Amino acid sequence: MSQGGNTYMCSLKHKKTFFIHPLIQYLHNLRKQGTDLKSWYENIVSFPLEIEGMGAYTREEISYNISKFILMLKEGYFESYDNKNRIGKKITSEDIKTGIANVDHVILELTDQCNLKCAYCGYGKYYDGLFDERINNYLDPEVAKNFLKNLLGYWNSSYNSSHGRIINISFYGGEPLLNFKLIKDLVSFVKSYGLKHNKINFSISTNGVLIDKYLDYIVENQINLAISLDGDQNANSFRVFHNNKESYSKIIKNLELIKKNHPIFYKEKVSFCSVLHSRNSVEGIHEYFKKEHNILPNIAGLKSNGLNKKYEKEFWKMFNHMGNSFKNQNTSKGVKKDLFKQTPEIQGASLFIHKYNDHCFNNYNDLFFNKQEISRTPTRTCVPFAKKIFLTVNGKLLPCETISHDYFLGDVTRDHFKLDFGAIEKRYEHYFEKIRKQCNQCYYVESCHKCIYDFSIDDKIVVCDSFMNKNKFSRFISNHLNFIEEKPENYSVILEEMQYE
Amino acid sequence: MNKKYWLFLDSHTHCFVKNHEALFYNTLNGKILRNTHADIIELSKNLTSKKNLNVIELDSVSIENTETSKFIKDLRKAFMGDIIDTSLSTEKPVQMMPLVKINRDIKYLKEHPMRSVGDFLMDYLSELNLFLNGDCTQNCTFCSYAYKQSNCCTKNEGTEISITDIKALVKQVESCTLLNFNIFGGNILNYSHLRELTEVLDEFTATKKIHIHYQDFINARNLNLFQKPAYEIKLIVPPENNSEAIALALEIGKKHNLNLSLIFPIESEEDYYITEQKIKCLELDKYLISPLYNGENTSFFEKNIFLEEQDICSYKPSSKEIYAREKINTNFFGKLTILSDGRIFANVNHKELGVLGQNTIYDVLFKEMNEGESWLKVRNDAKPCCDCTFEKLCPPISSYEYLMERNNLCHINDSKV
Repeated sequence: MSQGGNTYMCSLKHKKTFFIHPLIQYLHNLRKQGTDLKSWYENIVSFPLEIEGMGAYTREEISYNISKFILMLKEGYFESYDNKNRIGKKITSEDIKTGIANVDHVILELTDQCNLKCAYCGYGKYYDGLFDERINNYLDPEVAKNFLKNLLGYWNSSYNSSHGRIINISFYGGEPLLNFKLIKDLVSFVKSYGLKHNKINFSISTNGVLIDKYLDYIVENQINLAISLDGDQNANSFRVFHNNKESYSKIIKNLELIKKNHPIFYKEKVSFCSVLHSRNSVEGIHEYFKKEHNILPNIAGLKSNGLNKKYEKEFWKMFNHMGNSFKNQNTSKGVKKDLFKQTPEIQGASLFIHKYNDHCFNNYNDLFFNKQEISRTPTRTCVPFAKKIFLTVNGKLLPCETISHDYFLGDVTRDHFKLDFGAIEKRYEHYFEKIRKQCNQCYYVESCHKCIYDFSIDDKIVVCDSFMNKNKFSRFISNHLNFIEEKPENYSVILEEMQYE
Repeated sequence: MNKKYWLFLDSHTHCFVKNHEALFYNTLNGKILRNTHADIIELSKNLTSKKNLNVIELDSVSIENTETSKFIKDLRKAFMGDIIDTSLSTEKPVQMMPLVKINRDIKYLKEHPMRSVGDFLMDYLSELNLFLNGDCTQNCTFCSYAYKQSNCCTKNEGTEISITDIKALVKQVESCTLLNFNIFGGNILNYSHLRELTEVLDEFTATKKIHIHYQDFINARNLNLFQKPAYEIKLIVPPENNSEAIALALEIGKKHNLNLSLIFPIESEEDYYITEQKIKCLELDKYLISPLYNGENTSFFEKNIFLEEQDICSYKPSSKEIYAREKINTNFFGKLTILSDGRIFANVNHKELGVLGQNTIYDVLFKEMNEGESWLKVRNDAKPCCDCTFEKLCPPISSYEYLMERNNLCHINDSKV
């Protein structure tokens, strides 16, 4: 039931959420308790029948709703849904090869060295040694080329199911511009390779300090710049040089340079990433970027898993919760409008609408098959390398840049590109087995957002903090229905403007 | 007291409103409700608007209006919707209105700078129709047009397809989840590289449907090539006096342990009755009667093939079929036809998409998704269907429509014409 007092049902089997007459729900409950509806109806002594908390109903209303209930029952609307088959799939070598050939995003860590010492750095003191030690290392150009050569082979193979699709190659660090020569080498290496099916989009994730040195090349090669900037000077004050001097003025100077000399490039190829923390807010970040740069940034919260216990207290002082920051009364309507898609409520409603309604499909093939009957793996863990391939500065291969380097799945040297598909299959199945039992019981399976690496996966017993029993799931559904009841106009906007693949 | 009610549509009800009519369809029982009253059309538009999400408020005065009252009564009788006292809740309820959403919708892929029409397009390829040769000694009357509207062979397109080109094609589609290979001639048994071809096709788990004229089948010497579980033999049987020969063909099929079924092309009621007799007489259970349009038998189609409202009700299209009909043409989607001269089509009645050996399957699929006329052609793109409330209930546009040069193969709105 929604807060507004309306009765809804969610059929996981039919992937459908729907408003119903409360009598239908009442009849469903009676039947579940083992009541024979025919004799129940025949034994009603007088009409209208008063049902506690639901009002009074005439003979016609009850008889009508019994008939409708039976009709829905015959179509399986009230059948329970067993997750077991849904999440029974194992990842296979073929899945992994197909994943590599169709990857979205390739990330190369060009160096672990950085010219800044940001307080909240993911490789800094707040996180518990999940990553290889930062020793000012630089990625060996031959290793990087061997890595890309192998990927290019996959992209040209029949495992690739796309034509004209864009693959993003990102240069990452540390600060990637510290290894600019390698960027140039790799861009020309990829460009010289005959790609049959894909287009490449290069980007650099940078703190912006060194842009002025290399701007002409970057503009000439139309390389996207994803610049980290947390807002105005105070908001950006966690981002400092090694001598603790703030980086803000240097970055602004570089931004002015791009705007002045390459205004079209600035408009089309520059984006910003802002980290939300105790010195800024969603409202502040939004106001600043709109006024100063006329580009809205992607706002991300601080990573709060893998924390170093020693500094945990200090970390939480710096932490600013995204949802709370959006909900803050000071957050104006204008901000919410501009950042519509990033609003937690909208993201939640989008997830709900896309996952629990039978008119939402991922692709055209889904119109032919019943997706609920197609087996997939537990959690929302990606097939390794299907979304991202991350090469560390030390040649380790990981399925994502946010995963501890201890969990590398293969490695690249100058001479080899080593991925043992069989071993990866086994490892993932070992991980999935640890969580499968919980997933079997969980009502949240369809919209699960958990990656296997979010858990302490090496522990003997793995517990999912997002597990939902029936009651918790009902509250989850209710919350989203409340939101849509309050703002029904968002329903079609979400379906028209938001993607949930 | 002027009591207030929510009027709502049940989630299993689809409403289609055009200027002249509102149509309600219940996916649970197949019932259809049509209303042409201006007030009800207006009310239906309001009800299904994006702001109302299939729920509107009505007061007891408006409910007492004769038309509205009758409409609600009809709606309830068909189990399509209901009214509920607003005092039972504090917020207006919402129904998750079925606004069909495909994440990788072609429109989105075209508009989004970081996406491409070609994103994962090979995943869509599900069926390949391969015409091997034009070599055939039979003289079927329908040879020049049957293959344009149904699964049938033809010697109309001449030449023989190169096995090298087929091998190159197969290499490209080896990772696709192909469900069917339909193989046609001419007479495929005369194809110079038949053994090599079957060896190539054996690599696929897809069903291989081999189409042969029944006379050629009877005379065949190489049927052992098809003695495998993933092979199905489809015998083309023209409407002629041939019961004995069919019986012989069935016996040969049985002897060779082949998975055999029959296709009976028909062009008239007479053909139908002859065929029906044969089916009865030979006690056939695996067969397909395939009506053919020959340019002169429009009345046969009008009488026997055109749809009535009742046909749609009895077929009971599901919500998913309705959604599919809004977005794609399920008759053609995922299918490619390669003629023996190498030309590749999404539908042979449309422009060719490429030539085998010159264009890759990737190129061809990209072209179809980007500018094609078949896979994504829905009734909403075709007159007069786009103005009809049955638009999404009717089966997708078929090849018959292209050959007859009209889209509405139905009697649904005949009374209005």
